[in-house]
Amino acid sequence: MGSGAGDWGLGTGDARRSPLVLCLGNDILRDDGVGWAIAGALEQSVPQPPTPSPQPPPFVVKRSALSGFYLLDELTGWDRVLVVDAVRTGQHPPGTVLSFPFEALGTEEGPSPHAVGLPTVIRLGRQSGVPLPSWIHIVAIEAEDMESFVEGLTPAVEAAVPEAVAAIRALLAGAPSPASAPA
Amino acid sequence: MSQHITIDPITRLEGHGKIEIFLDDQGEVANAYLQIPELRGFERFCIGRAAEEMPRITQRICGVCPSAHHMASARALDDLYHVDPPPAAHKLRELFYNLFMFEDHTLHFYFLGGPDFIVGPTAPAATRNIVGVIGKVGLEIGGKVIEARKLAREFMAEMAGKVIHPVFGLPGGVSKPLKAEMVDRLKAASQHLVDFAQFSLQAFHDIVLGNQAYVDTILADYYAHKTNYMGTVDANGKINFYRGELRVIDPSGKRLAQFPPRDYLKHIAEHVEPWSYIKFPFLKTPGWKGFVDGPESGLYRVAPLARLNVADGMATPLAQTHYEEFFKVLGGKPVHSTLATHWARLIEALQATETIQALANDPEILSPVVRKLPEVPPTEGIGIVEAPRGTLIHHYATDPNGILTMVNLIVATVHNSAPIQMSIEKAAKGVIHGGKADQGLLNMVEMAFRAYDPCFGCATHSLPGEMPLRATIRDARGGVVEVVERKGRLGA
Repeated sequence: MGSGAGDWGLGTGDARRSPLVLCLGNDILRDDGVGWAIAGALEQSVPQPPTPSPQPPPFVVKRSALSGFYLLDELTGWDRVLVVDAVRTGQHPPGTVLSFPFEALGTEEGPSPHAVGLPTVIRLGRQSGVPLPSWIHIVAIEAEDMESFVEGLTPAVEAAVPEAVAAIRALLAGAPSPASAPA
Repeated sequence: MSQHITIDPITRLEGHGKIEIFLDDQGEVANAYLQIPELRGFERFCIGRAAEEMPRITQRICGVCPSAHHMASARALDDLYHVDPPPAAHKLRELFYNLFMFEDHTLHFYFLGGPDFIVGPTAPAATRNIVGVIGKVGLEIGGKVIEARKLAREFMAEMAGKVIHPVFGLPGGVSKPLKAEMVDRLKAASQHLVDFAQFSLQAFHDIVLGNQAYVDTILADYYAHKTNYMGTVDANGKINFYRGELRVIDPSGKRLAQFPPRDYLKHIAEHVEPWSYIKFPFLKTPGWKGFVDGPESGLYRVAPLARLNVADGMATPLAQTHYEEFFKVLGGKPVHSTLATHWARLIEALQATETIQALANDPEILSPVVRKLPEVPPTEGIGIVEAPRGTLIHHYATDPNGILTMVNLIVATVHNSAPIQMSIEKAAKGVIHGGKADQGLLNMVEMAFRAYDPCFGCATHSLPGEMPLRATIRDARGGVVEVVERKGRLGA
């Protein structure tokens, strides 16, 4: 047992050399579903290569409803990850697309596994030898309603999906290559 | 006017839990309240949908324990459609569910709850995590934890299609049988899981039980409550996570009731308080007596400690030896010390691995007969499993076409909501004096509810932040005299 990526059988495949677009959300909680809506739009925006393709895909889209420390399982083995999620900062109008590097997030501890955030997950995972991304960027969409059990987005958030997709495509185009990704 | 401390996650982003601590004029804690989100909106969302969708829909309640909701829902559908799955289907579900219990308990202990003990409850927050655990247990432990969980989760994914939102349990059985090749791998892997679970208990034994200060913390009065307890037992009275009857004991250990899932409403009712939209479950006998413990209390607790308290023992031999030591060290049954939950969790994890190993070596697990199709129109169904955090109840009613007309869910955190209130209040009274609350004191209060591992964020996930905590101490006139705050930050 060791700590290198190869020991886990992860991080060495072609697919994981591509950037991962990890879309978080819950599509029955109103605007909390925006991450998954963006996942769908991203998938439609990319022509599907013939299968099997000799080339790794330009990026991989993954939907997840996990939270807290369980996000570790989604991130393990990937080198470059773009996390997409709904947020409510209360500082921006609903539908605002926010884009910032992972390093801009706080690092305080949470008191419960349900409340541990991405910075803690990444920090503790790295410190315990888990192969985690060297490059993480966040695209977050300011939400209006994330409490109602309703399918479908509020109009302002739905209208933001194309802008978010464009922002993600631009970020992916400028993402560091696996070889040059900063440690 | 009394003083007022609020520990308040500000947005849904970081979770919904909110603690309010009220001080009296002398700065001593008068009352403490915990508010957690309701599930009624989710229940309403389900009305009018096909019942057979529920194992897939209910997983969306929680970004942490979808497998528990999936399994409770499958059990409820068995009952709803009046169909008992073939023996092999029950065993496959039990295998899947024990893999889940092991990986969830392991994650919680090493990364979240256990560090309080392994590193020490008064250690600086910066070391009270897996890094501190590595320092105490050894550099290789981080890798061991990750590898053991990965092993379990890969088998779950192989059985259910995916770990997150599995497509596995169906009314009357499961979606597919196992392949012999996978079972061969599982047989080999299961010994690794058993070894790892034993290693965890040995580490707990050496580090925690070898230090009297830690044992004293576990047994500290301000973390203890003499409540009733509830958990699921099998036909032999041993702990079972997947199926059985619910057993209730009183604070002295005397059995109050034992009943099949279908009878839960004969024994449990829900109390309403005007200051919270959460209902507080209680036992109809002895009835609602308020937020009090002791022999007259109507409150009960669920979760690993409760399960060990109600059962006659563990269902597997290695776990049984630790069960016996548990009660010997902690002074006999029942144990009321909330923080003992962490130790109980490790013993349960060992039972889960032994169960996995036994099932992997059971020839019937390879039977191709894994589903019995329903033949009778659906009516009403109740499914109960023991989630990592305690008893989980799914209760559905439908019209003859299987369209849902009623959904009632009681999750572990709701069962425990009144006792959590009491634990927080008791801990706050023990550590907050003269209106002073610093980070260390807040952690001591947090430890009280961290042991329950309460789910504040059912139906949520959290992008960035940490659960922000804010303690505002107000003077008798409501003015802020001190703010203790730690909260997540969003960039951009």
